[in-house]
Amino acid sequence: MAGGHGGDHSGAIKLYIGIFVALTVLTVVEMIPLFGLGDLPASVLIALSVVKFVVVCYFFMHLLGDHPIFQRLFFIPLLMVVATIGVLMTLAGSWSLNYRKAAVLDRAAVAAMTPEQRGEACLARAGVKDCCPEAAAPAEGAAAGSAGFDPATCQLLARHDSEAIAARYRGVWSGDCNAWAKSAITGNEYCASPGLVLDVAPAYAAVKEAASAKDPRFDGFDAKSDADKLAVLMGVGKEVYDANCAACHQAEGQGLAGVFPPLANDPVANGGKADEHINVVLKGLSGKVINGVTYAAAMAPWAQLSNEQIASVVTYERQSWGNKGEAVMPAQVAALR
Amino acid sequence: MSAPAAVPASHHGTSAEPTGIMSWLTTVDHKKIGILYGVSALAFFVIGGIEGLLIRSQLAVPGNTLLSASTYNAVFTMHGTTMIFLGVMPLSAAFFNYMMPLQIGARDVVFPRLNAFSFWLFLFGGLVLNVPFLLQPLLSGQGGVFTRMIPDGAWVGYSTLTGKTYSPYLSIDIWICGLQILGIASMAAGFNFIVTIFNMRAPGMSMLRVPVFTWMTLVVQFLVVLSFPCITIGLVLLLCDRTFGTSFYVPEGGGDPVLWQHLFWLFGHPEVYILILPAMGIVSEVLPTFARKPLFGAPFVIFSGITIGLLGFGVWSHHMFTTGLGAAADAAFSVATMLIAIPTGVKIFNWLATIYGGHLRLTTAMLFALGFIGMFTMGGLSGIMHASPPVDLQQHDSYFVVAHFHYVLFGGAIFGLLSGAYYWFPKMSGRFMDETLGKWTFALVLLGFNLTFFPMHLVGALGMPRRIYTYEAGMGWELPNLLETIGAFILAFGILLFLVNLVRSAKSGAQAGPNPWDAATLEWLTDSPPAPHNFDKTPTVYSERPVWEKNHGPGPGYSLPEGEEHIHLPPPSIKPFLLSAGVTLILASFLVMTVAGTMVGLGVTVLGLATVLYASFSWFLEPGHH
Amino acid sequence: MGVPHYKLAMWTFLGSECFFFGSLLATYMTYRGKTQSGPIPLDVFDPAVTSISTFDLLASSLFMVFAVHYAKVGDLKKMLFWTGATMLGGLIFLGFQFYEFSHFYHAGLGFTTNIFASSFYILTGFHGTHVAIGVFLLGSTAWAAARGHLVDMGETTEVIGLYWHFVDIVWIAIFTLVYLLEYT
Repeated sequence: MAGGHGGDHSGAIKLYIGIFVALTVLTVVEMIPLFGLGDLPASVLIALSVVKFVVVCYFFMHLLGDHPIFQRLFFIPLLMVVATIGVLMTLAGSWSLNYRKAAVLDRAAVAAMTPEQRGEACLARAGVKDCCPEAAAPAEGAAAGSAGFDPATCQLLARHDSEAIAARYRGVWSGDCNAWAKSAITGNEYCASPGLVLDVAPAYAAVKEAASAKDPRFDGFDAKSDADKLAVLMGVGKEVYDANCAACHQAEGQGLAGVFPPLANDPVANGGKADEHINVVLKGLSGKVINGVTYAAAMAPWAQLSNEQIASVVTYERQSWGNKGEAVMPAQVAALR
Repeated sequence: MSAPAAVPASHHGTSAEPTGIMSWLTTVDHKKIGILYGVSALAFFVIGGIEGLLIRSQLAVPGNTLLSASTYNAVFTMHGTTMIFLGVMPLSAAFFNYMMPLQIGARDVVFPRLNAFSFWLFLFGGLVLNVPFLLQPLLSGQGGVFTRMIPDGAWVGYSTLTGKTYSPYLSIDIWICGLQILGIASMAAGFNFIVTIFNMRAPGMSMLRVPVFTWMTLVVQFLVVLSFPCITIGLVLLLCDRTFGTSFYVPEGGGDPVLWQHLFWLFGHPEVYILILPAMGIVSEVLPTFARKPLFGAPFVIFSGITIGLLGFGVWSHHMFTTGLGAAADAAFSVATMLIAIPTGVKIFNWLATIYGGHLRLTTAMLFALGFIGMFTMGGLSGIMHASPPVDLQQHDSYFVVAHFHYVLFGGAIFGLLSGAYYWFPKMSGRFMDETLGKWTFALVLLGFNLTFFPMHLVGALGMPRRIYTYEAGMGWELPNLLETIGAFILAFGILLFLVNLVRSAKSGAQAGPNPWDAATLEWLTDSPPAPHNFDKTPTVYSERPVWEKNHGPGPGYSLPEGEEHIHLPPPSIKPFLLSAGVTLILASFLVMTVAGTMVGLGVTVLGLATVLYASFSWFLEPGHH
Repeated sequence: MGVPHYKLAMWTFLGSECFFFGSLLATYMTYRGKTQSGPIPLDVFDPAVTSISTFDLLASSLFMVFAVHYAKVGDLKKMLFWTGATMLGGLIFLGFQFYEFSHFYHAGLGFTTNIFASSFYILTGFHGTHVAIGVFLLGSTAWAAARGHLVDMGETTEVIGLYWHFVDIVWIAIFTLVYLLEYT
């Protein structure tokens, strides 16, 4: 195709074709695992693609022999980008992940594993945060149940020193990051206080999961006497309250002046309508005037809790700290959903 | 100099020059575009300032009810967005446009029409962000997505707040649209300036003879073109989440809100240097001029600017210490952040060494430059405090941070830009600004600024969170907040004086010659204001201070070639305006889609595409622009 | 600097594009393997389709250097021929992408199905958009060259060619990180 244009001319064309053949060979090598003809480690595949990349840049894009400014303009940003992607993957813990491993880890297989196996499999797939929420996120809001892994294994696997994190975050601000709600303080920021944003995600999933599983303490609940029912509700209620509500409303229901309303002596909790109380927990609340004080903070809906958990926590709130409201049964919650 | 020796004989017989408003709509002259940037940026700056005053008025006393919580959200969001994207960035762009080609001895930027395109696109982006203020009162009665139209997700727009669940209104969509438009505008200008600085320098002007302001322009443009793609993608993903229901930032769908923070701060941290480096460049021009000494260690100032720019890409996560990155990442980003103190400190000591032993002339420009050193250093010091994760955990999202970045962005960037305004006004208008009024401005701005922002350190340390719309009495925050509000109004009065001075002096200031300050760089070789073609003859440069050396020795400074020079100036063109309108239509079409349905939205997209196609083909074929 | 303006602008732009595609790749890679529900890549990927479109794009890169070469020596006919061949390569790639997307969609992988789907479609979709823009630019260049509108045909074709090769090397990265790594 280069006939009649002199030696230099056809030489260039020959070089281009040679480069193309080399690139084709490299690509064919890359495709060995694609068609199941053999295995190549990821490092080799990435090295091959880097070679192809650089060859195209230097020969097809003529960086070779061109003004050096072009190399700088392109490769400095490129190296910055590669480093940035590496850092982001490290922070996201996604170096060791891939979709094939993810597929192996279906729920039935997990159920059949020992805690140690589960911990290792989970770590290989997603990092400790996905397996051991209580190890990674020790804040109050996170303790409502894990994905079912052995705590000792989790402790072993924990990349973060959970005690150190707890010490760093607790007591610094008045409230911890409140799951995925708007900031309770400003109504604005995703997480207004130094919250464990990364770490709360799996904890949140765990809370959801725990909510969907029935608490054994409620087995045969309807057949129990009223006093026994109340004992179960108050016991579970305190757990749910401490895990989810105390961060804002405080452990003794005293609230935080002007920011989070107290529940002790609250007109709804202390003998008000039970349905209204349940609705606040189910649907959230904002901009409410209570006992003459306007609260800007928005309360998130807690519909992810089970009927039993909501009945328990509402009962607990209505019968603690001097409040005198009646107990609430899971059926009432179910009716209002 | 003012003899019309070489009237640009270009225009290839095109029809007469457009006049009136058309002359501005069609201009491709970097100087007129610079003025357009300056005027629109000042208008937006005033709007942002009024928003700032509203914030301070609301917080003057505890339990104030001047603004509702949701109005306050909109006001502080727009204050931040406006000041950053529509105030400081375009004010810098005004100087880039006007001064950079003059400083390198060029007749214009390399792509004059692209320059005009950048400006109009910037203006459209600013309008998209601000029009909701007018539409909100008219449309909020309609409810639905119209309930909130003014962007109200904070300038950082954190997920999940900006997701559909918590912000099911137009406000965030409008914010996305405006920012995308502004991003394209900034990047287009960035490519233009980079090529201009590399390729359009006068003969003899090696890179080390390039004035420091132009150097900082270059660094800033690299930061722009490399960091804006990150937020572009961040915003595209957010748009997909909101419009198509993907889960990039939605934890329930497997996404991670922290990814937004990464993409945002990958842009956001270089953005901080995009805001401050131009001011550093201006100060590096002003100090030597009024100290009558060369800039001490100019290559160090330049290389520290480059270093700041490079390091700026490696520290984004220091905005995210509180997300729990883990000890190793915290440590790495902490160290990288502290490293930035080194080149910054180098610059500060270079400036100090420049004024040391100089014969200082304390003009207003010089006063603002000196003020810059002091105020910026304070902001820089509190910045180093944030670099330490345990300290940052305390200060994060408190007013301490607000104090920090206002010391950097007002005490730094705005002081520098004000200095530049007083310094270059004679060049741009041919007249001096009033010095008496100027010194009053400086006194009021300095006093008002410190009174506004210094107490924020204290309330921040006392635990006052930022972005709260009101607070309770009895937490020890009342007095500082009241002082801050008083300070804000003093500051506003100072800025008002500046604007009055600007308008008055443009009409009736004392006449200034080509080089009123006895300065050193090439822009002072031209008339004040410069002729459309800037230089009758392109100078050959022998020094990094050509004009100074020509006047004071020892070297020749520069020389002018013999004989007549052919001057080609591109004719005015309406195509940049058309193209930017088309791009705006395409980007705004998804807003129309949300409001008026998919078909109407697609109609707008097609209209925008047609405009873009027409504008770009006729742009390509336009005579007089090779 | 003494280098052509548009070439300098294009290389600067490509540096910027590194960050553009870098952000998309970072999104894909940080979410890699984190999807909670299927389909996962191995459920939908089709090695044959991917291989053909990879070779197709590689070949178009070769055609592109031919086009640039002949533009520089001023051979308009050959320049037009190879530019056309390059555009054809781009169109074939787009056709395969359309086929791939619709195949995935019918296999149950919509844009919002899971985080893999969203990050995959947005990444490869933006790459496809770049290919489409490249085809448009090549077409415009060929038209302008044929009509004699180009001041310097060699330089213009070279600058457009740089863009085309960049789109090709982005595919090298996507091909490895998105497709090949699933088979390791």
